[in-house]
Amino acid sequence: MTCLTPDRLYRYLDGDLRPEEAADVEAHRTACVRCRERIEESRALAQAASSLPDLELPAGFAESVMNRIVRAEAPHRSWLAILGIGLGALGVSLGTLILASGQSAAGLLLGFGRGSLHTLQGLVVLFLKFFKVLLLAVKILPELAGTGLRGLSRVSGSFPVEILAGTVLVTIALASGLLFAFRRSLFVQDDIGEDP
Amino acid sequence: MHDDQELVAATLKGNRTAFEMIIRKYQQPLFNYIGRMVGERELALDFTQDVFLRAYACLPSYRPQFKLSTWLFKIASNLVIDFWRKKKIPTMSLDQPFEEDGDSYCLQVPDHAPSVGRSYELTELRRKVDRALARLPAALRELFVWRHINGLSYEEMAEIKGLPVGTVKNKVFQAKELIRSRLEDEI
Repeated sequence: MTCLTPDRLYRYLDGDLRPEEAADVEAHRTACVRCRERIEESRALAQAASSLPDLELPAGFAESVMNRIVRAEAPHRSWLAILGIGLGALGVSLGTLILASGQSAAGLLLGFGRGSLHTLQGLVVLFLKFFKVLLLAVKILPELAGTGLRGLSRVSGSFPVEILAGTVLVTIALASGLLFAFRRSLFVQDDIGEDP
Repeated sequence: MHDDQELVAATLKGNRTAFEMIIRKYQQPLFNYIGRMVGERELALDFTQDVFLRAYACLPSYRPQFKLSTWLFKIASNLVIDFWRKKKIPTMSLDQPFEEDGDSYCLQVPDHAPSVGRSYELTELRRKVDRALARLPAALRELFVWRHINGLSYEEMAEIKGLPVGTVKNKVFQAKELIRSRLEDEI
Protein backbone atom coordinates (compact mmCIF):
# COMPACT_ATOMS: atom_id res chain seq x y z
CA MET A 1 0.00 0.00 0.00
CA THR A 2 1.25 3.52 -0.87
CA CYS A 3 1.49 6.27 1.76
CA LEU A 4 -1.76 7.83 2.98
CA THR A 5 -3.22 10.76 1.09
CA PRO A 6 -4.63 13.50 3.36
CA ASP A 7 -8.16 12.58 2.25
CA ARG A 8 -7.65 8.94 3.23
CA LEU A 9 -5.88 9.94 6.43
CA TYR A 10 -8.68 12.25 7.62
CA ARG A 11 -11.38 9.81 6.63
CA TYR A 12 -9.52 7.16 8.64
CA LEU A 13 -9.38 9.47 11.66
CA ASP A 14 -13.09 10.27 11.25
CA GLY A 15 -13.87 6.53 11.19
CA ASP A 16 -15.27 7.05 7.72
CA LEU A 17 -13.48 4.16 5.93
CA ARG A 18 -14.95 0.76 5.23
CA PRO A 19 -13.63 -1.95 7.63
CA GLU A 20 -11.31 -3.46 4.99
CA GLU A 21 -9.94 0.01 4.07
CA ALA A 22 -9.37 0.80 7.74
CA ALA A 23 -7.55 -2.52 8.17
CA ASP A 24 -5.26 -1.63 5.21
CA VAL A 25 -4.46 1.70 6.84
CA GLU A 26 -3.73 -0.01 10.17
CA ALA A 27 -1.36 -2.42 8.45
CA HIS A 28 0.39 0.39 6.60
CA ARG A 29 0.60 2.48 9.76
CA THR A 30 2.50 -0.30 11.51
CA ALA A 31 4.98 -0.54 8.67
CA CYS A 32 5.41 3.15 7.73
CA VAL A 33 6.97 5.49 10.29
CA ARG A 34 6.16 8.55 8.21
CA CYS A 35 2.43 7.82 7.97
CA ARG A 36 2.32 6.81 11.64
CA GLU A 37 3.74 10.21 12.53
CA ARG A 38 1.26 11.96 10.26
CA ILE A 39 -1.64 10.18 11.92
CA GLU A 40 -0.40 11.13 15.37
CA GLU A 41 0.26 14.68 14.22
CA SER A 42 -3.25 15.05 12.81
CA ARG A 43 -4.71 13.66 16.01
CA ALA A 44 -2.64 16.15 18.03
CA LEU A 45 -3.81 19.07 15.89
CA ALA A 46 -7.45 18.02 16.21
CA GLN A 47 -7.01 17.59 19.96
CA ALA A 48 -5.37 21.02 20.25
CA ALA A 49 -8.20 22.64 18.28
CA SER A 50 -10.98 20.94 20.19
CA SER A 51 -9.39 21.83 23.53
CA LEU A 52 -8.96 25.53 22.75
CA PRO A 53 -10.29 27.52 25.72
CA ASP A 54 -13.71 29.17 25.47
CA LEU A 55 -13.73 32.85 24.58
CA GLU A 56 -14.69 34.70 27.73
CA LEU A 57 -18.28 35.91 27.84
CA PRO A 58 -19.05 38.81 30.19
CA ALA A 59 -21.09 37.95 33.27
CA GLY A 60 -24.77 38.72 32.82
CA PHE A 61 -24.71 38.30 29.04
CA ALA A 62 -28.02 36.39 28.98
CA GLU A 63 -29.67 39.04 31.18
CA SER A 64 -28.49 41.82 28.87
CA VAL A 65 -30.02 40.02 25.87
CA MET A 66 -33.29 39.55 27.76
CA ASN A 67 -33.28 43.25 28.72
CA ARG A 68 -32.96 44.16 25.04
CA ILE A 69 -35.87 41.88 24.21
CA VAL A 70 -38.01 43.47 26.95
CA ARG A 71 -37.06 46.99 25.77
CA ALA A 72 -37.88 46.10 22.15
CA GLU A 73 -41.33 44.86 23.20
CA ALA A 74 -42.04 47.75 25.61
CA PRO A 75 -43.10 50.44 23.07
CA HIS A 76 -45.60 48.04 21.50
CA ARG A 77 -47.12 47.19 24.85
CA SER A 78 -47.17 50.80 26.08
CA TRP A 79 -49.08 51.81 22.95
CA LEU A 80 -51.64 49.12 23.60
CA ALA A 81 -52.05 50.45 27.15
CA ILE A 82 -52.36 54.03 25.91
CA LEU A 83 -54.89 53.00 23.28
CA GLY A 84 -56.97 51.33 25.97
CA ILE A 85 -56.77 54.36 28.28
CA GLY A 86 -57.61 56.68 25.39
CA LEU A 87 -60.68 54.71 24.34
CA GLY A 88 -61.83 54.50 27.93
CA ALA A 89 -61.38 58.24 28.43
CA LEU A 90 -63.25 58.95 25.19
CA GLY A 91 -66.16 56.81 26.37
CA VAL A 92 -66.26 58.61 29.73
CA SER A 93 -66.10 62.01 27.98
CA LEU A 94 -68.96 61.15 25.64
CA GLY A 95 -71.02 59.83 28.55
CA THR A 96 -70.40 63.04 30.51
CA LEU A 97 -71.26 65.09 27.44
CA ILE A 98 -74.59 63.31 27.02
CA LEU A 99 -75.44 63.69 30.68
CA ALA A 100 -74.40 67.37 30.78
CA SER A 101 -76.42 68.24 27.66
CA GLY A 102 -79.62 66.94 29.21
CA GLN A 103 -80.55 65.46 25.84
CA SER A 104 -80.81 61.92 24.60
CA ALA A 105 -77.78 60.45 22.86
CA ALA A 106 -79.80 60.21 19.62
CA GLY A 107 -80.76 63.90 19.79
CA LEU A 108 -77.19 64.90 20.47
CA LEU A 109 -75.88 62.89 17.53
CA LEU A 110 -78.61 64.36 15.28
CA GLY A 111 -77.61 67.90 16.25
CA PHE A 112 -73.96 67.09 15.72
CA GLY A 113 -74.75 65.52 12.33
CA ARG A 114 -76.70 68.57 11.13
CA GLY A 115 -73.90 70.96 12.00
CA SER A 116 -71.32 68.69 10.43
CA LEU A 117 -73.13 68.28 7.09
CA HIS A 118 -71.70 71.43 5.48
CA THR A 119 -68.24 70.68 6.78
CA LEU A 120 -68.51 67.11 5.45
CA GLN A 121 -69.52 68.32 2.00
CA GLY A 122 -66.52 70.61 1.91
CA LEU A 123 -64.25 67.79 2.99
CA VAL A 124 -65.56 65.48 0.26
CA VAL A 125 -64.81 68.08 -2.40
CA LEU A 126 -61.39 68.63 -0.93
CA PHE A 127 -60.76 64.88 -0.87
CA LEU A 128 -61.73 64.51 -4.54
CA LYS A 129 -59.40 67.34 -5.52
CA PHE A 130 -56.51 65.72 -3.74
CA PHE A 131 -57.39 62.18 -4.85
CA LYS A 132 -54.58 62.02 -7.38
CA VAL A 133 -52.13 63.24 -4.81
CA LEU A 134 -53.37 60.55 -2.44
CA LEU A 135 -52.88 57.88 -5.08
CA LEU A 136 -49.27 58.93 -5.40
CA ALA A 137 -48.95 59.03 -1.65
CA VAL A 138 -50.15 55.43 -1.41
CA LYS A 139 -46.97 54.36 -3.15
CA ILE A 140 -44.81 55.84 -0.44
CA LEU A 141 -47.33 55.41 2.37
CA PRO A 142 -45.92 52.13 3.76
CA GLU A 143 -42.51 53.71 4.14
CA LEU A 144 -43.97 56.86 5.67
CA ALA A 145 -46.16 54.82 7.99
CA GLY A 146 -43.16 52.72 8.98
CA THR A 147 -41.13 55.82 9.73
CA GLY A 148 -44.04 57.33 11.64
CA LEU A 149 -44.57 54.20 13.71
CA ARG A 150 -40.87 53.90 14.40
CA GLY A 151 -40.92 57.53 15.54
CA LEU A 152 -43.93 56.89 17.77
CA SER A 153 -42.25 53.79 19.14
CA ARG A 154 -39.14 55.77 19.98
CA VAL A 155 -41.20 58.48 21.65
CA SER A 156 -43.19 55.94 23.62
CA GLY A 157 -40.01 54.09 24.48
CA SER A 158 -38.36 57.26 25.74
CA PHE A 159 -41.10 58.27 28.19
CA PRO A 160 -42.79 56.30 30.95
CA VAL A 161 -46.25 54.95 30.16
CA GLU A 162 -47.76 57.17 32.90
CA ILE A 163 -46.58 60.39 31.18
CA LEU A 164 -47.85 59.23 27.80
CA ALA A 165 -51.19 58.18 29.27
CA GLY A 166 -51.46 61.56 31.02
CA THR A 167 -50.78 63.34 27.73
CA VAL A 168 -53.50 61.31 26.01
CA LEU A 169 -55.95 62.07 28.82
CA VAL A 170 -55.27 65.83 28.65
CA THR A 171 -55.65 65.77 24.86
CA ILE A 172 -58.96 63.95 25.11
CA ALA A 173 -60.17 66.34 27.82
CA LEU A 174 -59.34 69.29 25.54
CA ALA A 175 -61.03 67.61 22.58
CA SER A 176 -64.10 66.90 24.72
CA GLY A 177 -64.18 70.56 25.81
CA LEU A 178 -64.10 71.69 22.18
CA LEU A 179 -66.82 69.20 21.32
CA PHE A 180 -68.91 70.51 24.21
CA ALA A 181 -68.47 74.09 22.97
CA PHE A 182 -69.39 72.97 19.44
CA ARG A 183 -72.50 71.27 20.82
CA ARG A 184 -73.55 74.51 22.57
CA SER A 185 -73.28 76.50 19.36
CA LEU A 186 -75.34 73.81 17.62
CA PHE A 187 -78.05 74.06 20.27
CA VAL A 188 -78.08 77.87 19.98
CA GLN A 189 -78.71 77.46 16.23
CA ASP A 190 -81.42 74.91 17.00
CA ASP A 191 -83.00 77.32 19.49
CA ILE A 192 -82.97 80.12 16.89
CA GLY A 193 -84.58 77.79 14.36
CA GLU A 194 -87.32 76.75 16.79
CA ASP A 195 -88.20 80.30 17.94
CA PRO A 196 -91.24 81.85 16.26
CA MET B 1 -31.83 20.07 31.28
CA HIS B 2 -34.95 20.93 29.31
CA ASP B 3 -35.45 19.72 25.77
CA ASP B 4 -34.93 22.44 23.14
CA GLN B 5 -38.34 21.87 21.59
CA GLU B 6 -40.01 22.26 25.00
CA LEU B 7 -38.14 25.51 25.56
CA VAL B 8 -39.18 26.80 22.12
CA ALA B 9 -42.83 25.87 22.74
CA ALA B 10 -42.76 27.55 26.16
CA THR B 11 -41.19 30.70 24.67
CA LEU B 12 -43.87 30.85 22.00
CA LYS B 13 -46.47 30.74 24.77
CA GLY B 14 -44.89 33.87 26.26
CA ASN B 15 -42.54 32.30 28.80
CA ARG B 16 -39.47 34.53 28.68
CA THR B 17 -37.58 32.41 31.21
CA ALA B 18 -37.63 29.57 28.67
CA PHE B 19 -35.90 31.76 26.09
CA GLU B 20 -33.35 32.85 28.69
CA MET B 21 -32.56 29.16 29.19
CA ILE B 22 -32.00 28.82 25.44
CA ILE B 23 -29.60 31.77 25.58
CA ARG B 24 -27.69 30.27 28.50
CA LYS B 25 -27.37 26.96 26.68
CA TYR B 26 -26.10 28.33 23.37
CA GLN B 27 -24.38 31.63 24.24
CA GLN B 28 -20.92 30.08 24.70
CA PRO B 29 -20.82 27.91 21.53
CA LEU B 30 -22.14 30.79 19.44
CA PHE B 31 -19.71 33.28 20.96
CA ASN B 32 -16.80 30.86 20.39
CA TYR B 33 -17.82 30.60 16.73
CA ILE B 34 -18.57 34.28 16.10
CA GLY B 35 -15.53 35.46 18.06
CA ARG B 36 -13.23 33.37 15.90
CA MET B 37 -14.97 34.54 12.74
CA VAL B 38 -14.96 38.32 13.30
CA GLY B 39 -11.86 38.58 15.47
CA GLU B 40 -13.08 41.56 17.54
CA ARG B 41 -14.49 40.89 21.00
CA GLU B 42 -17.01 43.76 21.17
CA LEU B 43 -18.26 43.07 17.68
CA ALA B 44 -18.57 39.37 18.48
CA LEU B 45 -20.62 40.21 21.59
CA ASP B 46 -22.94 42.44 19.52
CA PHE B 47 -23.36 39.74 16.88
CA THR B 48 -24.04 37.05 19.47
CA GLN B 49 -26.72 39.29 20.99
CA ASP B 50 -28.15 39.88 17.52
CA VAL B 51 -28.36 36.14 16.87
CA PHE B 52 -30.60 35.71 19.92
CA LEU B 53 -32.68 38.82 19.13
CA ARG B 54 -33.28 37.57 15.59
CA ALA B 55 -34.01 34.08 16.86
CA TYR B 56 -36.56 35.47 19.33
CA ALA B 57 -38.23 37.55 16.62
CA CYS B 58 -38.27 34.67 14.12
CA LEU B 59 -39.12 31.89 16.57
CA PRO B 60 -42.70 31.54 15.22
CA SER B 61 -41.19 30.55 11.86
CA TYR B 62 -38.81 27.97 13.39
CA ARG B 63 -39.60 24.45 12.17
CA PRO B 64 -39.21 21.84 14.93
CA GLN B 65 -37.94 19.15 12.55
CA PHE B 66 -34.60 21.00 12.53
CA LYS B 67 -32.28 21.07 15.51
CA LEU B 68 -32.40 24.39 17.35
CA SER B 69 -28.58 24.51 17.48
CA THR B 70 -28.39 24.14 13.68
CA TRP B 71 -30.96 26.92 13.24
CA LEU B 72 -29.07 29.26 15.60
CA PHE B 73 -25.74 28.59 13.85
CA LYS B 74 -27.43 29.31 10.51
CA ILE B 75 -28.61 32.70 11.79
CA ALA B 76 -25.10 33.38 13.11
CA SER B 77 -23.51 32.32 9.83
CA ASN B 78 -25.78 34.69 7.87
CA LEU B 79 -24.81 37.54 10.18
CA VAL B 80 -21.12 36.77 9.76
CA ILE B 81 -21.43 36.56 5.96
CA ASP B 82 -23.22 39.95 5.91
CA PHE B 83 -20.35 41.33 7.98
CA TRP B 84 -17.74 39.95 5.57
CA ARG B 85 -19.62 41.43 2.62
CA LYS B 86 -19.83 44.86 4.25
CA LYS B 87 -16.15 44.71 5.15
CA LYS B 88 -15.43 43.47 1.59
CA ILE B 89 -13.74 40.36 2.94
CA PRO B 90 -13.69 37.77 0.12
CA THR B 91 -16.40 35.18 0.71
CA MET B 92 -15.54 32.36 -1.64
CA SER B 93 -18.22 29.90 -2.52
CA LEU B 94 -17.68 26.54 -0.93
CA ASP B 95 -18.87 25.00 -4.20
CA GLN B 96 -15.78 26.36 -5.97
CA PRO B 97 -12.29 24.90 -5.66
CA PHE B 98 -10.29 26.78 -3.07
CA GLU B 99 -7.32 28.73 -4.37
CA GLU B 100 -4.43 30.13 -2.43
CA ASP B 101 -1.84 32.43 -3.95
CA GLY B 102 -3.47 32.00 -7.32
CA ASP B 103 -2.84 28.26 -7.56
CA SER B 104 -5.54 25.74 -7.15
CA TYR B 105 -5.09 24.13 -3.77
CA CYS B 106 -5.54 20.40 -3.52
CA LEU B 107 -4.70 17.85 -0.90
CA GLN B 108 -1.08 16.86 -1.37
CA VAL B 109 0.64 13.64 -0.49
CA PRO B 110 2.38 14.21 2.87
CA ASP B 111 5.96 15.38 2.59
CA HIS B 112 8.98 14.76 4.79
CA ALA B 113 8.61 17.89 6.92
CA PRO B 114 9.25 17.50 10.65
CA SER B 115 6.24 16.37 12.66
CA VAL B 116 4.22 19.23 14.09
CA GLY B 117 2.82 16.99 16.79
CA ARG B 118 6.29 16.06 18.05
CA SER B 119 7.66 19.60 17.87
CA TYR B 120 5.22 21.30 20.24
CA GLU B 121 3.70 20.64 23.61
CA LEU B 122 -0.12 20.72 23.70
CA THR B 123 -0.36 24.23 25.22
CA GLU B 124 2.03 25.62 22.64
CA LEU B 125 0.26 23.69 19.91
CA ARG B 126 -3.09 25.20 20.96
CA ARG B 127 -1.65 28.70 20.75
CA LYS B 128 -0.21 28.04 17.31
CA VAL B 129 -3.39 26.38 16.04
CA ASP B 130 -5.39 29.39 17.27
CA ARG B 131 -3.04 31.74 15.42
CA ALA B 132 -3.03 29.66 12.23
CA LEU B 133 -6.82 29.46 12.43
CA ALA B 134 -7.11 33.25 12.43
CA ARG B 135 -5.20 33.33 9.15
CA LEU B 136 -7.31 30.70 7.39
CA PRO B 137 -9.61 31.86 4.58
CA ALA B 138 -12.90 32.81 6.25
CA ALA B 139 -15.06 30.14 4.60
CA LEU B 140 -12.67 27.32 5.55
CA ARG B 141 -12.21 28.76 9.04
CA GLU B 142 -15.96 28.67 9.57
CA LEU B 143 -16.16 24.96 8.80
CA PHE B 144 -13.07 24.12 10.85
CA VAL B 145 -14.44 26.01 13.89
CA TRP B 146 -17.82 24.29 13.60
CA ARG B 147 -16.19 20.87 13.32
CA HIS B 148 -13.40 21.06 15.88
CA ILE B 149 -14.44 23.79 18.31
CA ASN B 150 -18.24 23.57 18.24
CA GLY B 151 -18.22 19.82 17.60
CA LEU B 152 -20.89 19.91 14.87
CA SER B 153 -21.33 16.85 12.70
CA TYR B 154 -20.65 16.99 8.97
CA GLU B 155 -24.38 16.48 8.40
CA GLU B 156 -25.28 19.49 10.57
CA MET B 157 -22.70 21.64 8.79
CA ALA B 158 -24.01 20.52 5.40
CA GLU B 159 -27.53 21.44 6.48
CA ILE B 160 -26.48 24.90 7.65
CA LYS B 161 -24.55 25.65 4.46
CA GLY B 162 -26.95 23.86 2.11
CA LEU B 163 -24.11 21.79 0.64
CA PRO B 164 -23.50 18.07 0.10
CA VAL B 165 -21.84 16.33 3.06
CA GLY B 166 -18.92 15.26 0.85
CA THR B 167 -18.16 18.86 -0.11
CA VAL B 168 -18.17 19.94 3.52
CA LYS B 169 -15.83 17.09 4.50
CA ASN B 170 -13.44 17.97 1.70
CA LYS B 171 -13.33 21.62 2.81
CA VAL B 172 -12.68 20.65 6.42
CA PHE B 173 -9.79 18.43 5.25
CA GLN B 174 -8.43 21.37 3.25
CA ALA B 175 -8.62 23.59 6.32
CA LYS B 176 -6.73 21.00 8.38
CA GLU B 177 -4.05 20.65 5.73
CA LEU B 178 -3.63 24.42 5.54
CA ILE B 179 -3.24 24.68 9.29
CA ARG B 180 -0.76 21.81 9.29
CA SER B 181 1.29 23.29 6.48
CA ARG B 182 1.38 26.68 8.19
CA LEU B 183 2.54 25.13 11.44
CA GLU B 184 5.24 23.24 9.56
CA ASP B 185 6.39 26.52 8.05
CA GLU B 186 6.90 27.84 11.58
CA ILE B 187 9.14 24.96 12.65
